[in-house]
Amino acid sequence: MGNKDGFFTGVSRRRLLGGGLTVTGGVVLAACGETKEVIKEVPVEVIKEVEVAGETVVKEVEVIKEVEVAGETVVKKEVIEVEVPVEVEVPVEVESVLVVNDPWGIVTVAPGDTIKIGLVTVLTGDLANLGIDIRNGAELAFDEFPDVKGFAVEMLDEDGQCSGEGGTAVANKFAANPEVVAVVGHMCSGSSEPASVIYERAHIPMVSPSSTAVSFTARGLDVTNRVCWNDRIQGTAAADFALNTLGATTAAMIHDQSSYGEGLVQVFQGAFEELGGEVTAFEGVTVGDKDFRAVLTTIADGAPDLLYFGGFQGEGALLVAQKNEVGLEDAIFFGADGINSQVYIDSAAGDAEGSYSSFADFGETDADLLAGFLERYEEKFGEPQGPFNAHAYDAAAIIIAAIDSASELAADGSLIIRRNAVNEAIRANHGYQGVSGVIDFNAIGDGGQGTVGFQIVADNAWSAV
Amino acid sequence: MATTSTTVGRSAAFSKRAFLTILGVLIGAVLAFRLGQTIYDQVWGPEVWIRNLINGLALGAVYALIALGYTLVYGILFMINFAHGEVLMLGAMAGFFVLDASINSGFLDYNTLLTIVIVFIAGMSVAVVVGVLLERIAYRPLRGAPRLVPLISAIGASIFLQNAALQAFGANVKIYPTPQITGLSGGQRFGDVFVANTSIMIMVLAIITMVALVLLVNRSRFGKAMRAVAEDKPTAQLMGIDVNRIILLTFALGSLLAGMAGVMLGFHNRQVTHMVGFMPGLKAFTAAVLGGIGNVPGAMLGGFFLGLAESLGPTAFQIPSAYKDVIAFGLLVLILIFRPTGLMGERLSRERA
Repeated sequence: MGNKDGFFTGVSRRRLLGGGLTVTGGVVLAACGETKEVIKEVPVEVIKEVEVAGETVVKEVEVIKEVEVAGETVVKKEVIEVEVPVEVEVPVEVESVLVVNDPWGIVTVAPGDTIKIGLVTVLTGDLANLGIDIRNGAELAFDEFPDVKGFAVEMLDEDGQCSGEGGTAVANKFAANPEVVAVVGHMCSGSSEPASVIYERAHIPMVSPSSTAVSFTARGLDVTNRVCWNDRIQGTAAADFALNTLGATTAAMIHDQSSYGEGLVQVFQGAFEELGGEVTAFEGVTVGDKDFRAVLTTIADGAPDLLYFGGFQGEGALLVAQKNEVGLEDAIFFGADGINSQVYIDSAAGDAEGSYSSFADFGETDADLLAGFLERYEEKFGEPQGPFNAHAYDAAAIIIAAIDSASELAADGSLIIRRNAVNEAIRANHGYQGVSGVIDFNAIGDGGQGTVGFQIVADNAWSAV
Repeated sequence: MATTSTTVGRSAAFSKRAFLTILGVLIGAVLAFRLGQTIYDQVWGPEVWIRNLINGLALGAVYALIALGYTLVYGILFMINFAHGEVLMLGAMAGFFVLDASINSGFLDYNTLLTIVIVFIAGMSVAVVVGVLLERIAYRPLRGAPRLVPLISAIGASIFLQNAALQAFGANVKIYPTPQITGLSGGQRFGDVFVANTSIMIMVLAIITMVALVLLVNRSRFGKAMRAVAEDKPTAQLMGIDVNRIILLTFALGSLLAGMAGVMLGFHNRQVTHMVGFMPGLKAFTAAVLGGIGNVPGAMLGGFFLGLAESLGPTAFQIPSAYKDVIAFGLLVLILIFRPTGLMGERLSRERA
């Protein structure tokens, strides 16, 4: 220890002394005005600009100067006046050189190369059935629109999980790849939200097929788009349905602590209370837990008419089964699109009978379009597993069409894609006839209108109310 | 010099103890005040307390069974088998596949009780095989290595098994169709309180198993050999005990209990995925530490204590149920601060001394 210390202090002292002497010497020499030679001059800020006779401009510019004074380099700041001719815009001939201007930058795809579009769902874990379902929907669109202007579209399939960590990991990977043009995804709001911050910086537009959380598009980001609805639509309609159709006057709120679940339940609560209903409890459950009897027991104390659940199939199935064990047999179980799957019904093994959910009704769309999609889906992947495969198809199709309209062929045969133009082309879709319904983007990127439909579980299947 | 440092050490130890006492009294006072408030204000009806007591007992029984596996292995090898939760998961998976097959073949309708027994046997035997293989492949080659090495190996084995199960069985949730099984579906009603049949099954089965285990450890030749190996391996070897065989059997025993707990959880909660062993494993490990790791009655006590704390804690202190994991692991921290050897740890060390 002692030895090392001594060594260090010795050196640094010597260096300090030497450096100090040099600097002092330099300053003294500079002050005396001896031989000066400007090595470098870097402009920092234009302070004033005055135009003289339409031909020249006199600018006062602050510069950092590196000056050599008697063999020593000195750096200093000073203000100088510069006279420059007025810039005249020279018209560029479009035929010869393609000028591509885009505030977000461009992606150049060399001939023979592919256009890369990310697809982020959940491929592992409890929600993999929903994730794979969404991936299948998107894959169908990639199959049916395989190229843009002769350039093949390549799908970069990633697992963003349903978590912030998973989402940011994938987003960072895409952001580091300058070839990624846009992203279909992510699946979960909890993964989309943190990822969107990274995409915003990297100027990668995203179109989520299923992130319905209010907060996803409410943060004023440019790249956040979705073809599903905003949960404000779903939550409000659900509250109205609960009160006016199901006749529930008291309700307990349960959410899965995700942006999606908690956001939705908050919207429901607000709307339900506004309509005159009473909320008896507001509780969160942990995803992955299998025993919710304790939380249901406390909820049962308030004897609500209805349990409103914001979350996914797995927890939903557990709650609907376990509520019967703690004295909530008569309470109606009401969920949202997150439980609108066959897995939910099968998981509850019979206990899901009579429970309700809201879902994205296809009422407004072209019936043939939807039927054709479902037929092609089943032919390729079998039975659909979740409510968002059609949205994924639309998201991918919209992105591919947007790239088509925001890209030009360059003289050397490569394709130039303008990033901001892609985003604007996505948001320019108004009254788009999608498989999932009519898609009409607003200024913040909410595209999905969707008629909110309601279903009940009867004979182990979701059927119309 | 020497005297001064001793005095400093003593006063530091004293101030640490004083600090801990004050901290303990403060925490105790806050909790007692909150509990008193809850009871005095009659925030909950009596049925809430009773229901949560039953929930807690069922949960605790499962934790206790799993914790026994941790504690047996720790007692004998001084290592924590972090893959224990995955042994449970594979037991639950095996139980599911047998149950599924028996439903499809109509055997369930033919003899329900026999089916349940077969499902348990299947789950337990697969768990035993996995546990024994784990010991042979992941732990035995590392015996004699520094203590951190088998621990890392255990964590690796845990992640390996999770992902292997994911790839082999898929991510879809496997469902134990409990409502279709007569005897296990539904429950008993005692006045206002309803107790699910699966809860009753868990409690009865767990208590019988635990009594049997205590008898095995304390009364049988195998138990004696196990205790001898735990006490002193080289001496046990000299006395003619096959140490490796005893260690293997201990793993088998622990895994048997984990497999049983896995099938119980399968019937009780109905959903089985490749992640189903992770949280119960972690909780049971907490329970084992709570009771004093290496101590068999301690693991049982710790399991029940943790189960009750988790389900009654939010009720008693009027906090959201989502905080139950905070309670469980907060309890672990508190126990480690105030009683690092666990609730029953001291008695064990005194017995051994």
